[in-house]
Amino acid sequence: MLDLGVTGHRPPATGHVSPEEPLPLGATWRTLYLAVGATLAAVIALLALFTRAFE
Amino acid sequence: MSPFDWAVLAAALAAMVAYGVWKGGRSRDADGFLLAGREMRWGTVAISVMATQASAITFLSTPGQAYADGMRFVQFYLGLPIAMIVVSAVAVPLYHRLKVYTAYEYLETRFDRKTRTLTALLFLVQRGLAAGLTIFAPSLILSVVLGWDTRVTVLVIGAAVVIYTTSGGARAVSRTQTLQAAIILVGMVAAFVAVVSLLPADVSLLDAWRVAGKAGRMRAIDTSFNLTDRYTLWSGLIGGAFLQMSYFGADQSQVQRYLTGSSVTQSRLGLLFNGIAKVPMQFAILLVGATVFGFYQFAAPPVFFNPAATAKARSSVQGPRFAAVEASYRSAHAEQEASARALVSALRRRDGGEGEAVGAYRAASVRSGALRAEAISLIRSSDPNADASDTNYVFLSFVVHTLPAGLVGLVLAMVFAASMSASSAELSALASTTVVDVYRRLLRPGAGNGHAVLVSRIATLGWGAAAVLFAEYASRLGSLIEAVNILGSLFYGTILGVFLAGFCLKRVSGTAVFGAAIVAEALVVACFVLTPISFLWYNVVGCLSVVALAPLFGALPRRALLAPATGE
Repeated sequence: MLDLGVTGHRPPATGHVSPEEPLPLGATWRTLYLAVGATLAAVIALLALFTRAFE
Repeated sequence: MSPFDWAVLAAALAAMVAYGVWKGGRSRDADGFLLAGREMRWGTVAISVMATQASAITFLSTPGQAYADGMRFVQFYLGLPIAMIVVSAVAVPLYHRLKVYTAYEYLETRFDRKTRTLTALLFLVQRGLAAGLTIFAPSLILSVVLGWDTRVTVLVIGAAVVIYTTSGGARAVSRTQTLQAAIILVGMVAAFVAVVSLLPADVSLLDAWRVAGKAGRMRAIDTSFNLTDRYTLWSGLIGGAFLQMSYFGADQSQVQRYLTGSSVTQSRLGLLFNGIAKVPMQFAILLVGATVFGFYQFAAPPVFFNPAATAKARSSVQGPRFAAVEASYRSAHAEQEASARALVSALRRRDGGEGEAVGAYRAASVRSGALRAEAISLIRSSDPNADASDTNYVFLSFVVHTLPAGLVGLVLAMVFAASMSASSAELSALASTTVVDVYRRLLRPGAGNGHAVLVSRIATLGWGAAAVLFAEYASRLGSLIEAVNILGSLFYGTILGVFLAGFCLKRVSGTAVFGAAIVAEALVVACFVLTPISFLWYNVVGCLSVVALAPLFGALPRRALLAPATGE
């Protein structure tokens, strides 16, 4: 817990991010970001197909 | 409304408040009250950020948007997954490492106090007004459709939110949002099932969607590049990404939600889940509206969905003419319904008669559309201040007039849940910024932890009262809603630019960024006043201007940069 009394003006932290738990299925952040991007591309393609199907 | 509907609504309201008070507990330290002890798992973070973004207007207006304008509004959210990736990769680890309570704290460690104070104050003004509107907007729609007193609805929503947010802080907000999300999900699914079951026996769901498609309501993607068109693939992907990056990266109402995550991993996973689920969720809400449109091709809709405006027109000097237009509209819609049935038959037969049936249906739609336009013109002439758009009233009007007892209460509970989830997050964020960036930074730097929690509770109560008061005031200033929404979009790009300069431009000083932000804001205002460019692009202009100008200002001699600011 951090005392609010020192939150007013702190020097930039130089420490590292605390150790993190492993990601699901042994993935890396890079693969997760790519998965989100690929999902977006798939959603756009599906929306385009949806538009064509009902036009 | 039936007694059963009232019972469902009252039970849902009581459950939400009681659950919030119970799950919120009594936090005795700032970490617990302002960031839920930083102990949330990614699922709670994901639900929390989604529930914060989706207010009651999302569930009331979005189906109406699809009814009136089709599915293309979904493109507004296409930039969100991109923004989730950027915020997860850049902002989340930084905020966690610095252990900040608010996004604006970071700006002081990176730049200086004036930049932190400026952005914090901008947030307080903008979000303080928005909190009032979050409560007021659904209250107005409920008052118009159901005849409820706006002041009572505002007071009920405001009081319910203040009770559990003041009691349990951020933990109460996050925990209650999971219950509220469940109520919202059940309400939307029930509404969709109901509209499907209400279609005529000889019209399938696919038939209704096909007819809606021929009326242009199923067009979800528009690949044209037009800066003045509000919703295209490109404005959504590019302008939307900048808007969502600013909202999720620099708006405390969202930053606070994912800072409740127990680690960088949990916060990131919550945001990435939002990046995957948000567009399909909005698509589903729009599809409910498109299905309601399909339903009204086989059942007569009112000529205008705002009953208060319609009643006013009927009782005005234009009353007889308005009644005649309503009668003509009913006849025209009967013809339109017949042409819609002929279209369904032609689409099923697939014998080449489809083109003719589409032409007849569209001609009938044009005739009834012209009568509706005439009715709106009469409404405007009977009341020049009347809103010519009835988009906000389509869904609730459908619910109240067609759904069975019990379901109406459930959908209204959904509206209350959405309004409460968004406004509670806003109040909690306003309280944390008030205490951390203003009270503890500028007024009482030495106050203790317990005192900070007490002031946080008072700030939550104060912002809740301010939101209710503003909501009461807003009922007399209809155009203010639009003005405040535009005001918010005018600032988001510049604020994002300040944060991006902090993240990416390592050698730029606070004064250079401050100067760049002022020039960027002037450019955004110039775009708003002098050009027809759609508002989503303001975010791109503001952000890129700050990022481009800050290094240039940094290269200027210090005296040259300070001269305009000091009036020399």
